Order: sequence, then structure tokens, then C-alpha cells
Amino acid sequence: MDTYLQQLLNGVTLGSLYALIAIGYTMVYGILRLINFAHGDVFMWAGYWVFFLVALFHLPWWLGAVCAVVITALMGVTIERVAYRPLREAPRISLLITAIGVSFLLENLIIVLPWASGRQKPYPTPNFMIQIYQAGSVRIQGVTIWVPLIAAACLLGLIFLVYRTKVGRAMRAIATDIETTALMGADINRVISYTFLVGSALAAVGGILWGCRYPRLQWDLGIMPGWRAFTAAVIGGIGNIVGAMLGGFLLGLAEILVVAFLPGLSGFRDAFIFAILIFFLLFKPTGILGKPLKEKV
Amino acid sequence: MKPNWILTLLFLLGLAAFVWWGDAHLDRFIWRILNFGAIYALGAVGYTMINGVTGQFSLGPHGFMLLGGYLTTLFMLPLHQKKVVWLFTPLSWPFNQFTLPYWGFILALLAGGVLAVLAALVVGIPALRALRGDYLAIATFGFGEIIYVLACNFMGLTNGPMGIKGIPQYTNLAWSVGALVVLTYAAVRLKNSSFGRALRAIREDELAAESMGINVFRHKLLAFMFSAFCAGVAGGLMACLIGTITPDLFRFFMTFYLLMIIVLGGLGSISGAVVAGFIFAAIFEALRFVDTAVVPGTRMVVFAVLLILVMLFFRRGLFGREEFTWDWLLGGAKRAWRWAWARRS
Repeated sequence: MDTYLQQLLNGVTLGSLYALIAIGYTMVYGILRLINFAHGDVFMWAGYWVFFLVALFHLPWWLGAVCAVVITALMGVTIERVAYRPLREAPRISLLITAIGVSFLLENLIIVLPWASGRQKPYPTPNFMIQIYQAGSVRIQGVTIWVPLIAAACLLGLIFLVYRTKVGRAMRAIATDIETTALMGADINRVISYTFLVGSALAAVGGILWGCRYPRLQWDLGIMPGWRAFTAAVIGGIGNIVGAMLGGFLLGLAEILVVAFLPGLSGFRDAFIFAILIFFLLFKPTGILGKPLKEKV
Repeated sequence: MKPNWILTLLFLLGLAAFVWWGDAHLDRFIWRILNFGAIYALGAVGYTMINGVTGQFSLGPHGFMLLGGYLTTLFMLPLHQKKVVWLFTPLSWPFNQFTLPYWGFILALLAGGVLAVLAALVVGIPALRALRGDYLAIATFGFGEIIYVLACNFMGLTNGPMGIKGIPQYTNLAWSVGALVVLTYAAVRLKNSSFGRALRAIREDELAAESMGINVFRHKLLAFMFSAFCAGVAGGLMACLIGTITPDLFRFFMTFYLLMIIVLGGLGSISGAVVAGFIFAAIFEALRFVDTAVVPGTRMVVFAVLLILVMLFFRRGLFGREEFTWDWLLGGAKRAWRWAWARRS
């Protein structure tokens, strides 16, 4: 019983991390119809920012984490401003190619930067995340408690932002029809910047918490979590925020359960993720909660 | 028309003479760059058929290259080397029974290409029917990653992440440039046939093409198979050029290289892909000093920035969608001559 509970909690932890990353994919896709290849790498950079600020500049952990979220969010906005905005009128494939370029740039910058320089770096994990709490016969690490709580707070904040504020309404309007929204007088560029700000900030929170869970930093850290989160976004119905959260939790649980109870298959773990992704793209491209998109002639 | 035909023949003769001379006498460093250039160009010619000409965005050529590279290796690796490499898990039947001599290299390359084509059928039949645009890109990318994971896990065929070493290095300019010339010729003929016009119609407007009576799915699938064949042969040539392969050699960065090449050459231009393939190989080696002088990996930063800059400011690439023609070259030479003549002092 305890094993099940333990694994369930692990699954929820991992799922909430995926949900945090998946939001960024799904919001950007909903608005620009762009698969933001660089999103996983933005997530990876957040962990490195904490490393830079805490381990190199000796900031207190909480301050370093907050600064890392702010810096990463600004990074996301800058990427959109510099690399995606000039291509707004270009074919969507050009945008995708640029996104792949940005992704390679972010990964290789980490390899090249003298303070990060390729090798693995230890992540500065704060004490309250490592501490072990005992409840009856179940031993729980701080991470397992704090990660889902922080993630839930962020996701609630996001739902409030999207469904209860003016910017949120503009985001939803743009996702439905970008031209009409522009005619209604909404500042499209500003709203898209906000979208990247929010998506990257959530990815940053995810990256910081990910570091607490798996405290090793490496340049390719963002790739597979990024793809799993993207798969989660597709499972939930891409463009749908609640769907991305749901998909994230489902995928996190499924992954932990498979690894825990069928350990022989863990070598094929990544292949399974992509198989699920391709399966959904082929047979249920709208995901669980998504609305079918009409073909525009 | 007639003089162009003669010019092409002369060019091919000159190329053959150069290859014959180059394999024997060329400086090994430059020889290696030219080989890589030809292999990249070959992969890019196939890649631009599906990405540029047909406008269907695939991100899977690294998977096809992996298949071609490994199958060619399994055919060509000498038996004693097979015993050395597969220490922990024995090599599966039938590859532990035979090896091909030098003349079999062409069979091995063709087999690699055919295997890639079969894989393209498996992926393409469901994916090209149902998906387009970025979803197709993701599905083909996922295919490439699945192939990678399988290559890491099927020890009996691939020796897993440890890779295979001691592959006979049969690839030389005759093989790589020869394969490039044959498949480029095929690609140009395809592009200029009614089949190629149908592909371009699909790129411009799929619904309109379909309503004109073009079987969209069949055309896309054939273009995809052609691109897979080129990638498979390129993978085989690369394995027998480097002499050592691991699954990591054929990861997503390989597709990134090919993407750079076709973007630089101009999406949809076959001659652009060939020219850019050699340019890429040259820049790649020329920038090696950056890697050794600064930090390993700086090259990739430069390439990533270059790709972004090309996409932002120079989306046409070198050739746009046009092809190299002798008329263009002769016309350009004539104009340059007139220009210089008018400005003589």
C-alpha cells in the first residue's frame, strides 16, 4: 500500500512539473500556431539561472529563484521579439525552422558558456526540499510536498489570469481569431509578448522545481522533459490550458507507474513517449479536451 | 538546348577526371571535406524534395540515415571485426554469417536505401495521409527519436550505444560524388516532370491541387520515399567514410545540418542543396579552429545564429526556388563581361 501511495505521490510531482511546462507550449500554439521548439530549452535555462545566481553570486535561494523566474520570463519575451515577431507574416514553416534554430542556440550556449561549460553541474537544492517528513509509515521528501503545492498555486494563478483579467480575455480572443481581435483594437503584439512572458515564467518555475527533484544540470536537460510536456499538451488538446494540466498529470502518473512496475521497459521510455505522441497526432489530434479545428480554405 | 547538353557532358567529364585524380592525389584533409560535402549534399537533395519542393515538413532524415548507415555497416563489416565488436551480445543471424567484399559496397548502399524506403512507407502511409505542417514535422521527428532508442536497445544488431568500429573505409570521391550525381540527376528529372509539377502544386495549395485531380497522398508518399532513399544511401556512405558509428552520430543535429543546408541553398532548389552542402562542409571544417581555440561547441552556436539570421533576413537562400542552368551562368558571364567592358578605362 505504502509503495503505491509513494509512487502515486511521485507521479503527481512529476505530473505537475509536466503541466507547468506544457502550459507554455499550449498557450503559444493556441495563439501563434507555432510549436515552440525552444520552450524546453528555456525551461533548462531557468535551472541554470538558479545555479548562476545562487552558486556563483551567492544570493539567498529564494531570491535567486525569484530572479531566475523573472530573467527566464524576459528571455522568453526577447526570443519572441527578436526571432518570431519578424516572421509573423511568413509561412508557418519558416517560424518552425527559426524555433529549431533558437533551440539549438540555447542548448549550445550552455555548452559554450565558461561558467556552465558542458559538464554536469550540481544544482543548489534548498534544505526544505531535501528534508524528509514522516507521516505514519510513509516517508515523504520535501520535494514531493512542495512541488505539487507550488505548481497548483501557479496553475490557479494562471487560470485566474486567463479567465478573469483583460489580458487573459485578449489572449483567448486572439486564439480564436487573430485578425478580428486586431480590428477590435487589441494590441496584438503586446498580448503575444504577455503570452510568452507567462508561458516562460511557468516553465521557469517548472525548471527550478525540476532541479530540486533531479539535482543535476546538463545542456540537454530540457529536451526530453520538453517533449514529454509537449506530448502532455497534445494529449490534453493543444491550445487548451486545462487540457495541458490534465495531460501533464496523466503523463506523469503513467510514466512513474510504468517505470516503477515494469522496470524492464525503462530503456524504451523515450520511444514510448513519442509513440504516444504520434498515436495521438494520428488518431486523436484534438486530444481529450480540444475542439476540432476547421480547415481554412 | 543543344549547347547546354554539351556543356553538361563536358562538366561531367571534367568532374569524373577530377574525382579520378582527386582520389589518388588530393590532400587528405581537403579530400575528406569534399567527401563530407558530397554526402551532406546527397542527404540535402533528398530532404529538399520533401521539404522544399513538396512543402511537407519532415524532421526525420536522421532516422533514415541511421537505418542506411547501420545496414550498410552490417553488410560490409569483416567477419573477424564482427566477432570483436559484438562481445557481450552475439550478433544476430544472418549478419554473423557473411560479409561482402569491396564490389558489394554498391549492394550494401542500395540495401541501406531500400531499408530507409521501407521505413518511409511505414511512417509515411499513416502520417502523410493524416498530418500536415508542424504536426507532420513532430510525427517524423518522433519517428527519428524512436529509431534512435531502438538502435540503442537492440544490442544484437547495433551493439547499442557503444557503436561499431573498424568499418572498412570504402567511401571515396568516386562513390560519394557518383551517388550524388546519379541521385541529383534523378531529383532534377523528377522535379521537372509532370510528377514534379504536381509536387509543386501541392506545395502551393493542397486543396487546389487535389481539386485538379492530383492524388495528393500518393505524390507526397513518393517524394517522401525518394528523400528516405537519399538519406539511407548518405548514411551508408557516411558510415564507411568515418569508419565508426554510434547511434549518437545520427541524432537530431544531423537533421539540423541538413535543414541548414536546404535553407541556405533555398528551400525547393536542388542545385541550391548541392552547392550549400559543399559550402556547409567547408564552413564546418573552417570553423573547427573556433572549437579548438575557444570552447568545443562554439561552432554549433555560430550555425544556430546563422540559421536564425538566414531565416530572418535572407529567407530566399542562395537560389530561392530556382535551379542552376547554363543559360543563367552564360547570361551572367555575358552581363559581367559587358559591365566590365563598359567600364574599362
